Amino acid sequence: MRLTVLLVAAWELLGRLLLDAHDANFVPMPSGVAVELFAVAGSGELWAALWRSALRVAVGGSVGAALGVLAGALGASGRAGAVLRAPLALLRPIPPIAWIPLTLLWFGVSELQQVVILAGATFHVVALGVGDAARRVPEGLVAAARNLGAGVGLTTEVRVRAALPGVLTAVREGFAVAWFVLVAAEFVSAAQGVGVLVLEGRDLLLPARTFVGMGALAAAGALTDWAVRGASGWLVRWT
Amino acid sequence: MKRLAALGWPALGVVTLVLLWVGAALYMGKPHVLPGPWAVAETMFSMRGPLVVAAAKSLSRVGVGWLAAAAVALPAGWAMGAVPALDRELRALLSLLRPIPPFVWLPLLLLWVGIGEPSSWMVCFVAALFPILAHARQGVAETPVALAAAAENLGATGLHLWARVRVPAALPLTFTGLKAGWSLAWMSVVAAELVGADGGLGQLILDSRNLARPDLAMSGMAVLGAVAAVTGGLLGWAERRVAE
Repeated sequence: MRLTVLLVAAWELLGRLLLDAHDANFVPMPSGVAVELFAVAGSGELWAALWRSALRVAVGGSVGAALGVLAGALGASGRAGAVLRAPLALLRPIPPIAWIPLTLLWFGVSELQQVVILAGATFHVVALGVGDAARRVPEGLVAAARNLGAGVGLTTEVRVRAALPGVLTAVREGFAVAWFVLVAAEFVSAAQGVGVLVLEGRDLLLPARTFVGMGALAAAGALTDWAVRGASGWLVRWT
Repeated sequence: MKRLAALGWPALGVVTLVLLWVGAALYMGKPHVLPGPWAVAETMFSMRGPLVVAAAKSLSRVGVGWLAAAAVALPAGWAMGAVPALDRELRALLSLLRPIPPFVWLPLLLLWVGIGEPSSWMVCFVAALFPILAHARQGVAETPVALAAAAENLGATGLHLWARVRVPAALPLTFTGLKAGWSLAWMSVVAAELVGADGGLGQLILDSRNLARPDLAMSGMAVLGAVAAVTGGLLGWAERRVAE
């Protein structure tokens, strides 16, 4: 922590010493970033941007995660699983960001396009993680349950509970990827959002705004992770 | 026979996907919106020149950035793993910087450094830095204490201890970090090229949107996927060789 504070202070100091007012716009100092932060927060732009982006991540991420859990679970074992896994494995190496221009062609500049990209990105990450978690359930556990007289329903429940931590980790990773991809998607075509804030920094020649956007992004990502962890903790306790 | 059967099911899955694609393309009948596999294949062939050039460009950017990141992050990560004081100091700073998607630095870099390869290299550098660092640190930190102690008992010290015991023990996790860094750098370079960097597969795919050529987009995406898969496979192969 001390190092960070030191570096920020050094940044500020060097900035004040070496830059004149004109250059200070070009290479912002911490104080400049703080000023911009208050400006953007006060004008309401920051909140509107965060809300827009968060909504996209929430919807796209949830859809993708839900489908991913389904696909991961179905694809985990058996012949049907192998059939499902193959085409997914073929599509997976294509970075989700690469889908952006194609989806723009198909869906136009719209919220749907953003949500589709996010859902696709989350889907692959979650499907992979869930499949992994399902396969790693110790067979001994299932066998023990059967020995104690459990039927199909109960053994399935045993599997689900054993795989649950892995599934939740996969969902968390999915949302992290969603934020990553969101920024790229907004970069290419969105009118409002955190990514747009970052871009405005370049367009308006206000790098301080870019830093504000970065900070907002980091905070939003951390908040999402905290929320997902909280929800999964609640889920685990409840089941 | 069993081998054949094992291949059969995945093949069925892939064939199903292709059939669905063909069906959708024929049903829509709009090749400028959803081209069929034949159109994409034809484009991939006719555009093979630009595709290869673009792929090489993206690959070179990732390569430079990743190598630079490894050069910095490997020693730093290993040092952090071995020296807890260093780890504590740097941790806060790194956790602040890590969540920022690497290509977000691109607008700033373009402003400060200008258009050209260095900005892309830096984006890939930043992208690969954190995974390599984190895993290298973890690799050293999680080396069983007994192993290092035993080596020291047998007389290994300083550089010798490092080269012969600590680093090799940390290699599996280090390699995981290198692989993760590579794939993250790859994703970031594509994003950077979509946003402002010149040339490369990302820009090719973007241009295809402006030209309303989804077949070109799909060709670019297929090449992207293939290069990513191949390079990832190569890294995995290298990892297995080193493990011996």
